[in-house]
Amino acid sequence: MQERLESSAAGRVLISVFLVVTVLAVAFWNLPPSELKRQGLRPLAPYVRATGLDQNWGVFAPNPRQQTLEMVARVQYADGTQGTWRLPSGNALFGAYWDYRWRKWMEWASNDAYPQLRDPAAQFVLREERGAGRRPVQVELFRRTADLPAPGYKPRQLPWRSEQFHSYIEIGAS
Amino acid sequence: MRDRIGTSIQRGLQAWNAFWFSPVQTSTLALLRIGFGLIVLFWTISLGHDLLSFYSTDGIVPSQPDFGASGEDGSWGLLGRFESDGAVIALYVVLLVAAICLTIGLGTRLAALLVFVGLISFSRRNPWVLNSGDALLHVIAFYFLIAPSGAALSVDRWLRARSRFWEFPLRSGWPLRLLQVQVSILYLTAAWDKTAGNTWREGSAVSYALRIGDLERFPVPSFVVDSLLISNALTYGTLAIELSLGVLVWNRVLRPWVLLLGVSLHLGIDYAVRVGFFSYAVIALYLVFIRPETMSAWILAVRDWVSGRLARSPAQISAADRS
Repeated sequence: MQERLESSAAGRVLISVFLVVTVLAVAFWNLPPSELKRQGLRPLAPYVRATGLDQNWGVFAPNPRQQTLEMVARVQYADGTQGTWRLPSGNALFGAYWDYRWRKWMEWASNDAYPQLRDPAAQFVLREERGAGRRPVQVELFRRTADLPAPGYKPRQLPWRSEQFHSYIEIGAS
Repeated sequence: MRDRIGTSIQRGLQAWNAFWFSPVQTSTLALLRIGFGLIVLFWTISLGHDLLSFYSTDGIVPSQPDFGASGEDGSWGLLGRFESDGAVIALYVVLLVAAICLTIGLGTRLAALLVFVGLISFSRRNPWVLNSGDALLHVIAFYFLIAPSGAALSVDRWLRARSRFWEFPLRSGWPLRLLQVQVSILYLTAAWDKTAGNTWREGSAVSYALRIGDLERFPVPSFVVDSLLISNALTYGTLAIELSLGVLVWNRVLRPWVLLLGVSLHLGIDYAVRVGFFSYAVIALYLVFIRPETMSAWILAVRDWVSGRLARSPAQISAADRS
C-alpha cells in the first residue's frame, strides 16, 4: 500500500505534506525558548506528543550539574530503632544499564520543584521495608550533596552536606 | 518573467522529489532495524529488573501524570488507562516479543507498531525514570512505523521471496531522509543548548560532567579531569563534534570522519557516564548516513565471508589462517 501511495502523484503530495509537518514540528520543538517556538508549537505540539517525537537534547546543558547527589531515606521503626534505605545500585559493567533510571528519578524526586514525587517515594520505602518483614512508622528523605570545584582545584569534591527535605508518617502508626 | 518563475518552481519540485523520493536499496533500513530491535530488546530486559517498582500503583509513581492538567495535549499511554500490575506485565511481555520480532523482521509492520506503543506507554506512565536516550528510542520507533524496514534481511522477506533473500529491493527514500534530518536536528540542538552555559563557554563542562559521582561509571584518569587544558580541549572538542554531526555530516567526503568522531564521543560517554542506552541508540542511528549501495556491498561481503568459513572444514580454515 505504501508503495502504491509513493508511486502516485497524489500520494506524493500527501507524503510531502506529512514530511513538511513532521520536519517543522521537530524543528519548532527543538528551538530555544522564544515567541517563534511558542507560536509555532501551538498547533504542532499535540502532534509531536502524540507521535512520540517529543525530545530533549539538552544533555549536560546548559551546564552539567556541579554537584554529586545522593538521596537516602532514614526509616524509624515501631520498636524505636532506625534504619537507612538507599537507592538500588548495580555494578558499572551491567548494572549501569538499569540503575541509571533510579538515578534519574533521584534527580527529580530530590528537586524542590517536584514535591508531588515525595509522598509516593516515602510510601514506596515504607512498603519495601514492610516487605522485608520490618515495621516502619516514619520515613525521612535526605538530600546529600557535595559541590564540585573548578577543574584543577583540590580537593576534587567538597565535603558532603545533608539536608532533610521530606518527612512522612504512616497513618495509624503509634 | 513568468517562464523563469515556472522553471524555478519546476527545478524546486525536481530537487524536492530527488531528495525525498529517489528510490534507494533497503539494506541500510534493514540493518538499522536489526540494531534498533536489539537495543529495544536489551532496554526492555533491563527494565524487567524494576518493572513494578517503576510502574505499579504501589511503585515510586503511583499513577500516570495528568497530561490534561499540565497542558501536555496529545500525550497518551496505555498504562494511564490500564493501571493494574497485570496490565504492566502484559505490556512488558508484548514489548519484549515485539522487539524480538522487529529484530528478526517477523510481521515487521505490526512489530514496529507494538514497539512504538510499548515504548510510548512506559515513557508516559513514568517519565521520571527516563533520560534523553530513552526518549530517542520512542522517536526512532515512530519513524519505523513509516519505514519499509522489513523489506530486506527479514523473516518476512524469507517467507515472501526466499530465492531473492539477499536482494535489497528499492523503495522510496523518504523514511531514511527523515531519519537523517532527525539526526542533524538532534546535534544542532545539543550544541546550541550548550552554548547558553558558562561552563561550556569557558571550557570546563566536561571536567564537571566526568566528576559527578552519582553518574560515574568507569574511572577516568585524574590527569584528564583535573587538567584545565585537557578539559578545555574535551569541552570545545565535544561542541565541535556535535556541530559537525549537525552540519558536516551532509558532506559526502567528510561524513565518514564526522561519524567516526561521533562514535568515539559516544563510546567515551558510555564508558564514563551512566547514560543507559543513549550511546548505542545514537550510534545505531548513524547507520542512516551510510549509502544503501555501500551497505548492501558490506552485507554481501560479510555473507560471502561467513559462508566461505562455513563451507570449509576447521582444518582448512586454520591452515588458511596460518598462511
